[in-house]
Amino acid sequence: MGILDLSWLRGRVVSVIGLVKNAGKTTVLNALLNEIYSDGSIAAPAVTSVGRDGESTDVVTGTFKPGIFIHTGSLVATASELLKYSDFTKEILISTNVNTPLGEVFVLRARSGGAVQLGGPSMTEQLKVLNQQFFALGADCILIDGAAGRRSLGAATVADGAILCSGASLDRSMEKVAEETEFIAGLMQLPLYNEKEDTVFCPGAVTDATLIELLKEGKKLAGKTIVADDPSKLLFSMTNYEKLKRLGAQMELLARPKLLAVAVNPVSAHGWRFDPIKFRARVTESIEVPVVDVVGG
Amino acid sequence: MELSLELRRTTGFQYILDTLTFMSPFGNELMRTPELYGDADALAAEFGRVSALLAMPEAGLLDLTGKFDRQLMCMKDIRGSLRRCAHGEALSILGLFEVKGLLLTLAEIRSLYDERLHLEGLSFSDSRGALAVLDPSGEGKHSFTIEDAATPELFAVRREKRAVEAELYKTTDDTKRAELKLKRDAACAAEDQQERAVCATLSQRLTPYCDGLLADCNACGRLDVLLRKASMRAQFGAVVPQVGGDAIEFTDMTNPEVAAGLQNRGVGFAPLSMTLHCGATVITGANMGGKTVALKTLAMNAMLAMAGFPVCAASGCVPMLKQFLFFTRRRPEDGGRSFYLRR
Repeated sequence: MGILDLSWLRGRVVSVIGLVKNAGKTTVLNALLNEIYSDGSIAAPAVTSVGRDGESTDVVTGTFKPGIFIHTGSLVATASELLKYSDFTKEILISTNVNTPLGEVFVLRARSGGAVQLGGPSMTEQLKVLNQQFFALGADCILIDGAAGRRSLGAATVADGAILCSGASLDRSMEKVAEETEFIAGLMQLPLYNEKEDTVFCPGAVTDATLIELLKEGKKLAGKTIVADDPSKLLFSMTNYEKLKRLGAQMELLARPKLLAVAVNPVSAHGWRFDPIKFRARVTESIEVPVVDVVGG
Repeated sequence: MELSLELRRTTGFQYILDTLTFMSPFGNELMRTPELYGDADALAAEFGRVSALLAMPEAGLLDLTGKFDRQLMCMKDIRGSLRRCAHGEALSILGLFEVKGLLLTLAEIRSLYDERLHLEGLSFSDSRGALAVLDPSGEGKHSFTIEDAATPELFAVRREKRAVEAELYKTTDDTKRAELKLKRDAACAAEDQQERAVCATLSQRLTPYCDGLLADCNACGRLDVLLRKASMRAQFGAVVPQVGGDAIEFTDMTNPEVAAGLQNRGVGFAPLSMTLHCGATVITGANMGGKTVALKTLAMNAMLAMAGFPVCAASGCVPMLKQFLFFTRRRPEDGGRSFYLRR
C-alpha cells in the first residue's frame, strides 16, 4: 500500500512531522520519494528540511540515520555547507537569502541521482517564501522533512497535508505511544471553526496554563467552543484536554493541514522494539487515517 | 572628515539617512559612515551629478529610479570572493554562481545606464568577457552548473556515474548493489575532482576582470547613493545648494525629524531662514522658543551640503567647511523636549 494518493500530491506541500526524535521522518520521506520516482507521474518533487537531515549519524543522539537519495530533476533546498556532503550533479538555481548556522540556503536542481544532506529554513515565514520559490522554479510538489518534536510544520500556512510519524523511541510502553499518537492525530483532525455562539477564541499558543485558566470556569464551559489558530499552536497535555472535554467544551481550529497518514516505527533508537504487527494494529484501532509502517509493511 | 553618529543623531542628519532606503549592500556601506567632502572640486562634481538627476522631470526620475532599484536590490556583497579570485584563488561552484549573478545584474545596470543616464565621473567596466566565461551560451539564465562538456574527462566520468546509477536502480541482488555502490562512490569522487579543476580554470579566466568588477560594485554603491540623494527632492523638498562665499545662508530651512514629531502633534514646522557670517553669532529668544531647533536645523543642512546631499531648504549657500562641533544639553532620548521643559 502506498503512503498516500500521488495524484493528490501534485501542486501541494506535505510536511512530515515527528512526535519524537528517531520517529522515522526521514525513512518516510525516502519511502515517499521512492513511490514518486517509481510512479513517474511527478517529474520534479522538491525537498527540504527543517534542521539537518540526510547525514548518516544523528549529530544529537549518535544513532544511525538513513540517507536521502534523490533522482534527476528533483529540486532541493539546502545550506551551502552541506553541499560538500551531497554527491548529485548540481545545478544551482537561486540563493534564498535565508541564513542558517550551516550557511545560506540555496535551491538546486539535481542533474543526476545522488545522496543529499538537507538543511533548510526553520522559520514558518521563510518556508512559505521557499514554497513559492520552489513552485516558481517548476516543482510539482514539495516535501518538508520536519525537525524532531517540532509540530510547527503542521501550520496550515506552510503545508497542505501532513504525515505524522510516531515510534517506539517515544516510550517503552506500546500503549503509551499509541495513546499519545491518537491524541496528537486527534488534535490534527479537530473540526474547522464554523461561526457560532458561545465561542472562546485563543489566538497564539494554547498551553496547559491556558486550559487551566479555562477549567476554572467549571460547568459554565458546557457547550462552549474553544477556537485555536491551527494544530501547531496546541501545546497542552492530554490530561487537561480530557478535563475540558469532560466539562462539555469542544475545540475547533481556524485552519489545519489535512492529516494524510500516520507512520509508525516499531524500532526505538534507544534499544527496544515493539512487535511491528501488534503496534500497527494497536495504532490503527483508534485512528481514522491510514496507518503505515514503511519498513515492516 | 567622518561625521560621528552622535553628531548625526543630534542634528537630524541620521533621521534623513534612515528615511532613505539604500537598495544595495554597497550603498548601505557607503552611507554607514558618511564623510564630508574635503575638496571643493569633488563636492562640485558630486552636486553636478545630483543636479543632472534632478534636471529630470519627477515622473521620469521615479521611473528610472525604480528600474535601477530592481537591479540594485538583487545585489549581494561578494567582494570577498572577487578579491580571492583576483589573487588567483579558485572559487567553488557556489562562488561562481554568485559571480554569474553579479555579472548578470551588472549587465542590466550597465545597459540601463548607457541608455538612460550619463553622470560625469561614474562609469561601469565592460565585463561582457567575464560573463561569457560563466554563460558561454549567452542565455542570461541566473542558474549555474558545470556542463558535462566542460572537459572530456568530466563528460566521461559523468557518463560512467549515470550508467552505474541506472544499473543500481535495476539490481536487486545485495552483493551486486554493494559493488555498484562502491563504483558509484569512485565515480562521484572523480566527478568532484573534475569539477574542482573546471572551477579552478573558470576562476583563472575571471581573474583579469576582478578589479573591474570590484570597481563596478563601488560604482553601484555610488549610483544607489545618488538616486537616494535625488529622491530627497520628492521626500523633503530638498534642493542642491551653492558652494562658496564666506557666509552660511539658508532660506526656508526645515528639519524633517522635528517636522515629523510636530506633525504627530498636529503642528507644522515653521521654515527658518538664517545667515551666519564668520565669527561668533549669538542666538537669543524666549525659553522653548526654538533656539536649539534652529541651530540643529542649520547644522544639519550645513552638514548635508558638505556631505554632498541636497539641503532641506528653499535655497542654500555654504562655504567649504572642514569641521563641525555641536554642543547641546539636549539628548536624542529627551524626545525633542527643550532643556527648560525637562527641568
